[in-house]
Amino acid sequence: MSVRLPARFVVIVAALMVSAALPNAQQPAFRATTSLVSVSVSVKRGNNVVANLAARDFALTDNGVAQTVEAVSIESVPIDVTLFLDTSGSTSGKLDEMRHDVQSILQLLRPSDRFRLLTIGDTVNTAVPWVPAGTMVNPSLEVVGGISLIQDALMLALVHKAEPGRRHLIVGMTDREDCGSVVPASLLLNVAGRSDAVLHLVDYSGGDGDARYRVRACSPRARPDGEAIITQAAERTGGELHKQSRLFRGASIARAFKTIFDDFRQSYVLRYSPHGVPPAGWHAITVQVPSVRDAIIHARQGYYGG
Amino acid sequence: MPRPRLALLLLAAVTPVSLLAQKRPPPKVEPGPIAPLEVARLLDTYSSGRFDDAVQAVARAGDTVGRNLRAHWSVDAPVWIGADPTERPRRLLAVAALALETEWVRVERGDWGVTTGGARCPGTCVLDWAQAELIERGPADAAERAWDLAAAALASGVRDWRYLQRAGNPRAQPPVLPGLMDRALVRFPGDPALRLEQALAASGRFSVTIDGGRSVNDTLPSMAMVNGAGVTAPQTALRTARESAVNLLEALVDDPVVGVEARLRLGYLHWALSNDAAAQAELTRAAHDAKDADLRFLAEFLLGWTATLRGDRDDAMPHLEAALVARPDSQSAAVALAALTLQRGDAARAYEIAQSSLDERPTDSDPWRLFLYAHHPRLPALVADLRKQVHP
Repeated sequence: MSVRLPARFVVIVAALMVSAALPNAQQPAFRATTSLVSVSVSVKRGNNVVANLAARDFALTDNGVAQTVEAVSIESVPIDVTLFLDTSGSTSGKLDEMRHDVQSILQLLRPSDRFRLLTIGDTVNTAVPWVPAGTMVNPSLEVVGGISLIQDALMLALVHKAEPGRRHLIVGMTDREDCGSVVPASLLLNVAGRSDAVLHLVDYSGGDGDARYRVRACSPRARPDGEAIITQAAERTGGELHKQSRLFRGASIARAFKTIFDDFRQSYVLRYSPHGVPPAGWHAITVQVPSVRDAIIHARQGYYGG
Repeated sequence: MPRPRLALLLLAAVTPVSLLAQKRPPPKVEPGPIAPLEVARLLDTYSSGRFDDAVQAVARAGDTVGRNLRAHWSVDAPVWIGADPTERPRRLLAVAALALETEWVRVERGDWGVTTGGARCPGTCVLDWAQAELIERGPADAAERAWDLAAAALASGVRDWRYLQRAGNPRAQPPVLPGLMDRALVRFPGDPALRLEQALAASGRFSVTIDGGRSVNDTLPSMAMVNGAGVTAPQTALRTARESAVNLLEALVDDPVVGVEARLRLGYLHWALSNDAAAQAELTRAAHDAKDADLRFLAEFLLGWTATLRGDRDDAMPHLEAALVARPDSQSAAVALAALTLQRGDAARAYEIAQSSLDERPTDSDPWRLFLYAHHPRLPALVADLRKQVHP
């Protein structure tokens, strides 16, 4: 089956159910499985997205075993977008800008996409529930001091189960310094390996915050390597941390989001049915594009099999 | 010695204690202006039962006036109190209650600990003065107790544990007063609720933990103020403080009124101090004994959360589920349970749990989110009790 797509991309949408029926004699130790694994892969050369890749261009291994894959450009797939804005102390000076940017982001989406906004109060709040692209919203954003439930918010975002045929992109705008989350960083990292979402973090801090809220305290406080672990969680999903100094210095949330969203739309979804590996446990995935020299590849680093 | 003079002397002794960051008492300066406010008019309004009108007038007057007002209490209020000797006890109570309520306004604006500028009298100074005024009323009574409990809840909101509980040292320079609850217990010896406030303040120093567990104060050097200078507290002092906190809570666990909460807090303290077996025993007993939904929630949540942190998913999940039975709208229990459910491989169920916690906005605050502020969440109710004492 082929679908009509924008001219500069050629996307092949293959049948999703791929037979894993290699002869049992070739892999006596392991049970073949019919469960499909989806891997979101961004391929760039420098700052430019490499388009028009086909399944045969990718070399994918699952726990070191080469797999047969097919590639589908994500351009054709509706996207569920979760935007997480950290409105705790250090970002509190930018609330008006945040409100404006949320509306701009909604205009960037395609009609079939959906959007929601999570923020932090004394709990993680749904400031905007799932709405179709283009919806006019007026999110209620509040400044909170001390408490900064970043890990809890990311956890609640990662657990979202997108409907079949949709992809889930999470963009978290935060300074990544957690304060008060129930979910420890180590558990967040584990959960990231079980989520189908792609998580991108944007280093976003707005200065010194609001002095009125300095008296608040929180527990637990971030562990010394907490920020590094949250970054690892993003990388485990195929996303990354975007530091202000590189892409987003002085940029608005909407601009930073657009860069991530455009890249995400032009990335690929590789689907394969694992063979030759035990189903249970952590499956480390590697993806290469041998035909593209100096390719910069961001892909989901693995998944937990049941 | 006439009582008003005694109160002023107490205030004079208290003020430098509250300004521990300074080596010398601040120079005497005139209180700043508070126009359009007038202390006498505020007190007339408040004592007539128009409580909100008085408090809102202070709130509307702005932060600068609010700060300046602190230094006016000791100057202007005695005149108002003395204007009607037959009403003296009730007037003293009204002054102390309004002073407390105006400090609540300051706390909400982050002004509790502002000591810069020398002449300013921060929140602790106002409460010290107000408590001394209450003592001037005569024998300890229910009104004074209501004020003490409200003051403890107020200071707990800013986690000023050292203000609430500390050993006094009159020979120090400047002299160090005992903590507010220590002084309250001199007036109400053995009162369980005040003893619990004292114990919560002692244990509150160890209640902040680091992701993964364990008290910050148990792992890092503790800073103390000695003659205005920050020094690292010796490990022996830290050990003594830990033991004191444990002892104060342990002494209350069988009390019929506050025992369950004392046991719950003791369990958490043990966990923060790495006494895992003792923590589990106390929390389990607290979960069993708790009749109050919030206390049962907290005991079950803490059992589940601490099991999560030690990687025992099978132990954690039933406790988190029990916590959600006690408080179905708790996001802290829901998010922990959703994470463990997803970790177990049940993505659909994890999604349900997480989504419901996002869809159903709690009608009141999650008890765990407020746990570290002791009884600050009860402050509105405690102030309402206090108001009834001022104007039944």
